[in-house]
Amino acid sequence: MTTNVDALPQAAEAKAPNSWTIALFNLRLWLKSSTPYLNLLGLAGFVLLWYLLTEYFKVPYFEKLPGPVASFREWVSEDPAYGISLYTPDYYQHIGTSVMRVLKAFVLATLLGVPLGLFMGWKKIFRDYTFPLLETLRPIPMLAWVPLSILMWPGREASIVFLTFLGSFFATVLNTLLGVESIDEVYFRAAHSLGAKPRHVFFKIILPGSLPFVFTGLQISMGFAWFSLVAGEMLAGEYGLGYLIWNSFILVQYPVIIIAMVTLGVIGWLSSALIRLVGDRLMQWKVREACR
Amino acid sequence: MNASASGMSPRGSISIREVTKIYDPDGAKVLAVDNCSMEIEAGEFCVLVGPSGCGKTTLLNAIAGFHGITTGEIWLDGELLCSGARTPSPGADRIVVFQNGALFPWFTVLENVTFGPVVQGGMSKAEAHDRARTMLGQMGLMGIENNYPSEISSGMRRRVEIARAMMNDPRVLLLDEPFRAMDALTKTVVHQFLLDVYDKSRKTVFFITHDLEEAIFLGSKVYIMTTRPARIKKVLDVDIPRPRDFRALSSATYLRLKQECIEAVHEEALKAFKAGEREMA
Repeated sequence: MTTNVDALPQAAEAKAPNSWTIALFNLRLWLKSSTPYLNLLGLAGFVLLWYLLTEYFKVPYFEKLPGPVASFREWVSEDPAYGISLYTPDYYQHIGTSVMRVLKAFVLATLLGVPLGLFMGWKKIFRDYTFPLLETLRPIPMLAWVPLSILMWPGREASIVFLTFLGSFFATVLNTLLGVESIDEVYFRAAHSLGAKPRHVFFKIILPGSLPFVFTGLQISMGFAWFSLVAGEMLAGEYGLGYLIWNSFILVQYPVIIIAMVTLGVIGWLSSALIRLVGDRLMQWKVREACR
Repeated sequence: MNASASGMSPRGSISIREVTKIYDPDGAKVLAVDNCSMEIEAGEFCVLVGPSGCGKTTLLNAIAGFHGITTGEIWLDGELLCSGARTPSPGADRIVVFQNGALFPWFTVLENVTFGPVVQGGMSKAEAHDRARTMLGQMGLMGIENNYPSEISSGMRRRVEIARAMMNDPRVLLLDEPFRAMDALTKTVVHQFLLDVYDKSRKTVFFITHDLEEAIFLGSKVYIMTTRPARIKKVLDVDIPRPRDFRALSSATYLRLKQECIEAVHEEALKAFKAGEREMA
């Protein structure tokens, strides 16, 4: 009965595809659709518009801005006029410093924020204690924390990481909490009915059930981390992309501003993609659901 | 694990004695179940039929331990399970199969089916996996154990959920309109599946539905409930021999019972409809 599997159409659901097959399949599908080409066209259109406004027609107000051609030439120059390009170690030191700060802050925010959010969602009494505090602290803009942060921490490094951490932390906690709340009551009942003890409920229902929201939260929190980092670096920094932008402005090295901004954009985008990748890896059930 | 499970002494008799449940959310007292009594023998396939929202689920949830009752008593195998003063906690001896399904979407079929034994600590993971594979095989569910619930059909999901319940060797299987959202064709498959499981295990089944035909086809005893507050209006003994299959649906006994049932239920449906009209006016 089990020999002639291929002949049965419904037997297809017996084969569980592995994650690589799914990823490859999706990539091929994506390349066949119009999406990637429209994506590129959209980007190219923006650069073209920027070029026309700043460098070709030199429209009032825009003429003061650095154009794409000048910035690109500076970026790929072996001997850059303002000292920052693909060929200068300084460029990488700025990137490395910023990435390390974000990484420290993000890891700390995740390690503290995810468990806190899970506990808040799990135990009502814990949530009752902490939720109003969270909701009061969360809307305070990161820039408002700058003075306290400088007062509290010795040296600029710790205070920049702290600011970055704060931006990231609240988004992580809130989304994790929402993730726990998104779990249908019926799964808790089923788990209890099957004899689950509290720790099973935590590790087998609350944790996996909230993961989709947790990872959405981590992507948002990564965005906030970069946002707060640049704010922090502009105020007090020696290295880092935020510092580079502000310093280039003061020193009238405008193309460098563009180089640093685009670099921030690309790294920010890559870091979000990385989180998505890890999320998909951990949530095969979600990935396969989407395939159907 | 337990000697009584091997069939020496049948387990799973439920005695529901004068149970009343009043919901009191914001002062507006709603009588959901009114003085309801029934004796369910061990190994009986008991079906409750009644209009939607009549309080059937309230009774099931009380047995399951999801909430308490206001007055009365529920006994399980001669032990007091539930009374006005005592609300039991849910447990693996009374497993519920839910209306909309409750397989954990983040676990594979195998992980779902072994959930009970693994969390109860009665079996090692390997042992549980072995048993689950054997059981899925016996139930005709082989080959899907590494799939996630979202990857299999709704009929499969229902069967897996029943298998997950049976893995715990429960005293009672509580089914809350489990086949409600299914199309007629899928229903015939899952009905047959449940009948097979019942014939092999002779577990006590407490099955809730608003579908008369399903009730008579599956049940040994059919309790017809009144509109809210739920009371028992009529009890039918279904003397269609087991094992049953679709042919039972055209037998004379089936048709006679269905006629009886329709008359009783129609009256209640009309009452519910009129009550609804009154509430609207």
